[in-house]
Order: sequence, then structure tokens, then C-alpha cells
Amino acid sequence: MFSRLKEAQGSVFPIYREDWVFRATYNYAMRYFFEANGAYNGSEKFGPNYRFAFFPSLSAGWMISEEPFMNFFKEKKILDMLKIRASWGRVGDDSVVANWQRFTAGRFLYKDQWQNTGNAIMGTVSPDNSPYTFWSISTLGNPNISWETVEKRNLGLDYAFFNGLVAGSVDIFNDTRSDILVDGGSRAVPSYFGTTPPRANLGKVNSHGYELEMRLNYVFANGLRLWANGSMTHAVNEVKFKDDAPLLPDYQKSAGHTIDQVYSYIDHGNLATWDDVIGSSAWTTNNNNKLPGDYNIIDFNGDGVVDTDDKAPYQYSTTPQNTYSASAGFEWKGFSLYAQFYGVNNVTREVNFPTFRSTAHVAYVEGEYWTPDGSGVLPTPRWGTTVDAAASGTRYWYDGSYVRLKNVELSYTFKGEWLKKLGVNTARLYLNGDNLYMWTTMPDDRESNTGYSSSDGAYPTVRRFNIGIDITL
Amino acid sequence: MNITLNKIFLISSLAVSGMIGMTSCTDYLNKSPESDYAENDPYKNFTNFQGFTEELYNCIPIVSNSEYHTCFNYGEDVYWEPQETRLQTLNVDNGDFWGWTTAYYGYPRSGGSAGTSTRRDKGDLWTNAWYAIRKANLGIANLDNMVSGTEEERNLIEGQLYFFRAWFHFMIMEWWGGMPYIDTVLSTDVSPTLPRLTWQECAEKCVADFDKAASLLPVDWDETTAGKVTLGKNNMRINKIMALAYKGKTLLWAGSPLMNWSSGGEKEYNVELCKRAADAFGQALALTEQTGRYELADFSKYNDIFLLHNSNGTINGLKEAIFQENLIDYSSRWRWNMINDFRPQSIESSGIKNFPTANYVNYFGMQNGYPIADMTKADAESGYDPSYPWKNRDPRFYKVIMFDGVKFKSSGGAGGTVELFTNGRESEEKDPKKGCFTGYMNSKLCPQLMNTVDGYKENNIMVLNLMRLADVYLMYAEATAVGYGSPQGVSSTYSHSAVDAINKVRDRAGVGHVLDKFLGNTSDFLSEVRRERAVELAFEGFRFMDLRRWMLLTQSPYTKKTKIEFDRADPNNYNYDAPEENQIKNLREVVLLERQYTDRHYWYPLPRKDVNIYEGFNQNPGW
Repeated sequence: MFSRLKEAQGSVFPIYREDWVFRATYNYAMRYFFEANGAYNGSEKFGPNYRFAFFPSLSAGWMISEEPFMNFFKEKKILDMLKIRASWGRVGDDSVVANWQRFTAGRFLYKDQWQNTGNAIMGTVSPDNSPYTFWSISTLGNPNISWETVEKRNLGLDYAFFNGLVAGSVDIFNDTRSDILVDGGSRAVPSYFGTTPPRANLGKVNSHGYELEMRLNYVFANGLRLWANGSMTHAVNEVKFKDDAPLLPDYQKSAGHTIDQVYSYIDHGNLATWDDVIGSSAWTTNNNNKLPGDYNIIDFNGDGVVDTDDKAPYQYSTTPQNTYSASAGFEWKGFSLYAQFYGVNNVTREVNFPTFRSTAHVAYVEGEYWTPDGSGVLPTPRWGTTVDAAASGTRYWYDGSYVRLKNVELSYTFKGEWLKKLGVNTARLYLNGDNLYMWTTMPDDRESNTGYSSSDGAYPTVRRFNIGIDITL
Repeated sequence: MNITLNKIFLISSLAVSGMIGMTSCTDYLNKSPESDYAENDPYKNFTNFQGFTEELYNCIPIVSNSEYHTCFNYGEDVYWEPQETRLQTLNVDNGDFWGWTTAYYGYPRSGGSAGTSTRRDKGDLWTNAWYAIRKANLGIANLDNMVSGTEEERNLIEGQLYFFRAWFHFMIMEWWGGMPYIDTVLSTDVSPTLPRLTWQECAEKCVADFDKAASLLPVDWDETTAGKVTLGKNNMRINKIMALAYKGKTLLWAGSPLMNWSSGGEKEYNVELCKRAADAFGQALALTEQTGRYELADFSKYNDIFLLHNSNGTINGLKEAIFQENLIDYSSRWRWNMINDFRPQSIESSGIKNFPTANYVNYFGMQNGYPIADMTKADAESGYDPSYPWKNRDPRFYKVIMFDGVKFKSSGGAGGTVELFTNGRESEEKDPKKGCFTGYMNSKLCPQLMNTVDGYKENNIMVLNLMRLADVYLMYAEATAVGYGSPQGVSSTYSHSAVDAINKVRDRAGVGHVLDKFLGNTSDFLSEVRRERAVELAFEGFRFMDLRRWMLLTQSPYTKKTKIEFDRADPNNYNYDAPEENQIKNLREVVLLERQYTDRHYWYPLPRKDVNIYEGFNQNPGW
């Protein structure tokens, strides 16, 4: 198949794409499956010599349960289905900006983009725009830029046993993302280069993990159906290369850490006396506002001051490594009940509720404040004075693990002739609740910190109860 | 099964044949020609190439107020309210020179972007200067693409490009020391790994570029054919005198103790470089006097060099301003909000306050030319009397400093004159945070009658002079005295001696000439050169650099900021019309702050990322 895409918007020059794809599938007796895909993609973003790239993928499957030698197990209702899958593929990516920005940014990455706009202000009496309009390069091109690629590998198993009682799947994946288009501002290019360097294919990230899923389902002779589903995903990644400045110490590099690794100032106990305060490593700002009871912030690189270089990788990233989901329920004679749980772990989150911040008349239940006799560990809250950004240490970073009872519903479906007489087809009465309970060490139920930090008004998760009736006429 | 296989074959061969016959596909994805400018559009004629070049003017920083409250005097000259934590001056006082990358208010700052016309971005000297240098190199590399243009037009373009390449390097070197001298358009392919040059090596490259610019540029664009298009609006366009004067400045700085030491020499002046500086300044001054291109302003208009009120858009500076900071938002920016920062809260309710330090005001000597040795002690020789400390002072004192009893409202009298004595209405004792915590106020950067009644708050234009003629005379005096070995020394390019040059600046202000006792040798003379620069150029952003290049920054008394405390001797019979005639008593000088500096404080630190890319781009010592 061949396609050329021209996408226009307003007065902007249209976006052009060109894609060649083929696909071949083969299956023999529903036992052996094979599929090959190939894509030959061209993008206007890259220079003539780097514009097209070939991205193949292959997959194979073996439905073991259809083999004659498995007939015995099928007839005995031990085995319903068993399949092994394997796939390998390469996928290209040229989407350097969010989709909604695609017309105005990240185009023609191989070319310098000129603009002819702006004027210097000149004169001694009512200075105004000079008649000479600036010519300038707005974006520098990289003639060698090309596709970012992901090499994906997947091994899977689908299974079903005991006439539908147990079913599920297991997947193991391993992705290598390479030639990642690193933004010019993140590249290790000295300032005297003079402008933002162009994007370049300079990143590499490995990720791997697995997914497990299991479904249970059993119907008793009296019509009672019990069911339960569970799944788990484990995914970890590691930046292998991101054009970090080579002389940076390892802990400051992206490489070797996970994407979105949390960095924090590290605290080690409280400064117990004025001697401790005076002897502690200086903050770069507001050091004179340091008091006994403040955290002893570790000068991680030992250069005598506590500054941004002393932020070190702390715990996990803000994206969970593991997510769990489980639900269970029953149905019996019109009644049904189910409950759904959701959980994550190996994740770090910021939950920041600073008492009196910026002389606000707001105080939070934070725990016990430090006193000279050693009870309590929290630093004294400040009113009009400001402490350094380092002062809170790891205080507001929490183990972001939680298990949430996300949803419970009890319902009854009415049946019978009397409904028909009322002109109603079906009617279901239900009572349900969202976000009923959460087990966590975090001080507050704010599942996601994206967008805003909690102190800036991240919205707490809503607990909700519904009672209702569904009627279909 | 056979059928399936055949299908695979068919599809594959289709795909392959498609790929073979696909030469035109690449063309389909080419950028359409009408969406692009032609290759030499930016350079092809004077109009376009001058437009290309004028973005370099847009990269000139705003020193004085890229932000609402910008501190830019980091010497011992000014004290900003210390409880305000957003000011870079607080970092500087505390010895944390990373402040330029972390503090909210101050010049130079980081975090701006080049290539915009946004006021705030213009405080980021580092980014704008490197951007401009790249652009100058790009222009120089494309001079041949100017297919139509007269000889004069070509020279104007080329001269400006060479000037700015040198000028932006110089501006960076002032704060961060010797750099690689970038004189090519750096390739996008390979990350460059150029070594840092010493200050003097780098200065020599600047000097060569300034020389080239001086040879190509006119004294006045108004006199050229190409400049007729912008007749009357050419004052800021780069000319020969600017190129010569900045060449001299670069050489004098290179020959100053700090730069000489940083380049591997002793902590003392480099005589040879100073001699070359003197010759360059001499050339600039001779040309200035011969053509009348620049003139020292008349003393009656002294304040107009720095600030104009209700000027209908006229920029301050008169014919004395040689090189000014960026003009973006010039008509409104001083009003929002720096104008509020120079008066205590009792006069102006808003603003982050700053006041001249008492130790600095002491540099303003007596009208007869004598310095003040100790402001608490009477001195029969100079006539200074601590009971009447503001009597018979250098006339510039009355123009740029407000002291106890001076009018702040046109009405005058008890309610319209400042009470700066201890416990007075404007004093720190009355208002510990926003009172006048040094005992003096600034009327150079803020009109004396700035208050809501007299209306001087509105319609102010204050564009900082990055170089003005008086400065060039003083730099000539310094360079010549060192380079030619005596205060009476004369450069080979000018007819006046070092001491003559200082006296020109003093004559304008009506101050006595440099006293004979300072004319015996260069060392004695330099103490008066330093004092003269302190007085004439007060609060204009020069002091910090001067203290650094003289290597005085870390030495007492230059580490101290002081205030004065005193009482009015006879408050009931106070003469409001002549405040300097009133007797005061109990005058004492109190240290507000003493900086703890070491040698590392002679340079700002380089951005961390830059120094972690390769070995040759090393951090400044101690950071």
C-alpha cells in the first residue's frame, strides 16, 4: 500500500508524509501463524539522504492447543486454549513535538529556518523602529537528522483452562529506543556555540518488563456466578545516553537513571544546636535564616555549599514501576456485586503542604516539630522569613505506593411481567461508590501530582456514592 | 497454501518495484521553494544586510532595569534593603557569585533568550552576547553575498560586524574572564572544544577587530550617503570613535592588575598595554575634539546626561553619551518601577529601596579639589568641617546626592525637606526596613523632587550610558599616567597629558584641579584617578568592575558599606533654604556590612553545564 499525505491548516504550508507499507499473513490450520509487516516511511522533517527509512516487523504464533497431541486434554476439559507468541519489530518516530503543535514547530529539522521580522530601536528623540528589518535564523537545522527508532521484542503466552475457569496471558517485553531526537537545549554544547543547537539523534533508552493477567470465572449449578480478574504490569527503563555533559559526576547525569528520576536534597537529622547551625554547610540563599531544628542538609558533592548540585537521585521516579489491578464479584438471581482495587508501588511522589507558606494563614497537621530536647523532627515553620530551597530535604517526598478500593457496586435487576405492563423493558437498581478507601503512607489522597504540586492546588481525589436506577423502555 | 504464498510474492514484488521507481518520492517531501527565503536574501543588498546586522544592536543588554528592580552597582557604592532576598546584590554581598544564575533581580542575569525584543531577556548578557557573536560571524562569512551595494555600504556593514564581534566578547570578558575567541561560524556537526584564552590573549583579538572596525566606519553616519535614510536617528549606530574608545578600554582593562594577573603576570599594571590603551584613547579624543562629534555636557545640564523628565521622548545623554544600553521600552521602563526604589517609604510607598553608602559619598571631596581623609575629623588644609560636612563640597555632590535637609518637594520647608538625621522622618530608625538606612539618597538616577505632588515620578527616561566622554577622558588619564610613566605623560596621539584630561572633567564641574601633592608620581596620581572615577561615574555601573580590575575589591575599606548617624545641632532654628549651612553634631560612621571576599570573588562563575563538557573550558578559580 502506498500513501501520500498532505495535511493543511490555515495559511501554513501543508505537512507532507509519504508511507509505503506491506503486510503478509500466513496461517496454517489455525496452528501456526506468521505475519510480516514492512513500512517504508518518508518524513519532510529530514534531509533528502535521511528522509526514508524501512521499519519491518515479524511475528509468529503457535496454537499448541490445536495440535492433535493435545486432544486428550481438550476432551477432558482440562485445557481450552494455549498459545505462544513472539514478535520483533522496529518502529520509527518523527514526532518531536506534541501533535497540536505539528504545523508550527518541529518541521524541516534538517534546514535552517530564517525569519525576517523585528527592528532595533534607534534615535535620540522619540526613538522608534529602525527601517531595517532583522533577518535572523529562528531555528538551526541539522542536516544529518533522521528517524528515531524503537526496536520492540515481545514474548507472550495466552491460556485458558478448565472450561473457562481460568484464563489469561503472560507477556514479556524488551524495548530499545535509540537515535532519540534530543532537544538542542539538552545537548552538551557550550554556550559560546551562540544559539540553541539543533536537535540530534543522540538518545538511547532501554525498557523492559512484563504483564500478567488472569481471569477466573465459575458458575454454580444454582446459577451463582463468581468471577475475579487480576492483572499486573512491571515496567522499568534506564536512560543509556542523553548527551549529558561528559564531566558531570554520574549522579548528575541522566544516563544510568530512569526517566523522571526524582532528585532531592538529602537530609540527615536535625541541626541540634547553634554550633551545628554555624558548622553546617552553607545554603546559597537565606543562610542567615537557618535555625536549630532545621534539617542538616547534606553537601552531597562536598564543595562546602549546599546548592543545586547537591540534589541526588532519591528513591524511584514519579512513574510507578508496578501497577496492579484486581476486581471480583458475583451475580445471582438478579443481584450482582463487584469490587475493584487498583494499586501501584516503586514510585515516589511529592506531597507538599507547607504551613504558613508566604505568610499564608494556613497551617497543616504536619506532625511533631523539633524541640531542643530532641522530640519531634520537623523544622520550625517560618512566617515572614524564607529558607533556602534545600531546607526541606526529602521531607515532602513520599513513597507513592498505594492500594485503592476504586469502585464497589451492588445492583439488582428487576424482571417480570409487571415491568412490561408498566411499559418498561428492563430496570436495574444500583448503589455504588468510587474511591472508597486508600491504603498508603502518603499524607493525603492525591493520586496524581501531574500538572501542579499539591501545595499549588492539585485537586484531591473525590469519594463519591451513587444510588440510581437504569430503565430501558 | 499455494495461493497464500503467491499472494506474499505478489505483494512483495509490488513493494520492491515501488521502491525502485521511487526517485521522485524524495522530491515530494522537499520543502516547497515558495516557503523559503532565497539563499542570499539576508545579505544581497544594504537594506537586507543592515537588517541582518541591526539585530546585533538588539542584543546590547539593558543593564539598568531589565526587570522592575534591577541592581547593577555591586561595588561598595550602593546598599539595597538587605531583607529583600530576590536581589543579586544580596548574593554578591554574601560572596555568592552564583547569584547571577539564581537571583531574580539583577544584572547580569541568566535565563533569558536571545533573538527576542523582550525587555526582560535583555538582562541576560551571557546568552545575548554569544548569540550576537555567532551572528556577527555569520555576517562576516557572507560579506561576499552582498551582490549589490556601494563601497561605503559594504564598509558600514563590515565595520559594524567586526565591532560587535569584539564588543560582545569584551562584555563577557568583563564578568567571566578570558574566553575562546569565536571568529568562525561554529559547525552544527561537532560540539566545539575550544580552549579558554587568557584575558590578554582574548583582548588582543578584540583589539584587532576594533581596529578593523575603526578603519571601516565613519565618525558620523549622518554624514554618509547610506546614513541619510536614517538621518537624525544615527546616534547609536557604530562609528569610528566608538571603535577606538572601546579598543582603548579593552587595552586598559587588559593592562589592569587583575587581568594582568589572570593572564599569568604580576598583580600590577602592564605598562606596555596601558601605553597602547593611551594611544587608542588619544586617537578617539583627538578625533572627538576635531570633529565635535561628542562634547562634555554643560554643568548646568549635568543631570540630563543621566535622566530626563518630561522630555517628550528625548533620550538622556546629550552629546556626551557615546554608547548607551538597549532602548527597548525606554519611555516606560524607569517608571515601572525603578523610580520608586531611591526614596524611603515615607516619601514613596512602593519600591525596593536602595541608597548610596556613606563610605562612597565620602569620595565626593571638597570643591577646592581636596579629598576628605576622615569624614568625622576637621581638616584645616581642605576646609572640611564635620559640623558642616556638606559645605563647600564638590559641586557634583549637590547634583547627585541628597543629604539631610535637602528639598524633596518643591514646597520645601519642614514638610518638604528630608529628615535624614538619626530618628528623622526619613531615617532608618523611624522605619528599619524601608527608611533611608545610609543617610544619603540618590538624585542621579531619580529626580530630586520625585514625589506624588511634584509629578517627577511619571515621564522619566533613564538610559544608562555604557560609555560617555567623561569616562573616556578618565580612562585616558589612567592609561597615560601608567603607560607613559607620569601624570604629566602625553600619548603619542593626543595633545593633552593625563592630568589635563582629569582636569577637563573637573573644570566642567567647577572643581579644583588635581593638587600638586598628587602629581609627583603615577602611584599618587592614581589615587586621585580612582577617586575621580568614583565621583564622576557614581552609580552608573562602573565601580564593581573598577574595584575588581584594580584588585581592591577584597581589601578594606573597599569591603565595607557604612551609614552616617548624627543630630541636628539647632533643630528649632533650621535653615531649610540652605541645608548645608546648618550645623550638625555627633557625626559618626557606622559599618552596615563587611564583605568576606577571597581571590575567587574577582570573577563570576561560569555556568556549570559549560565547564562540565570538556577539560579546556575550565571554571574560574575557586568556583
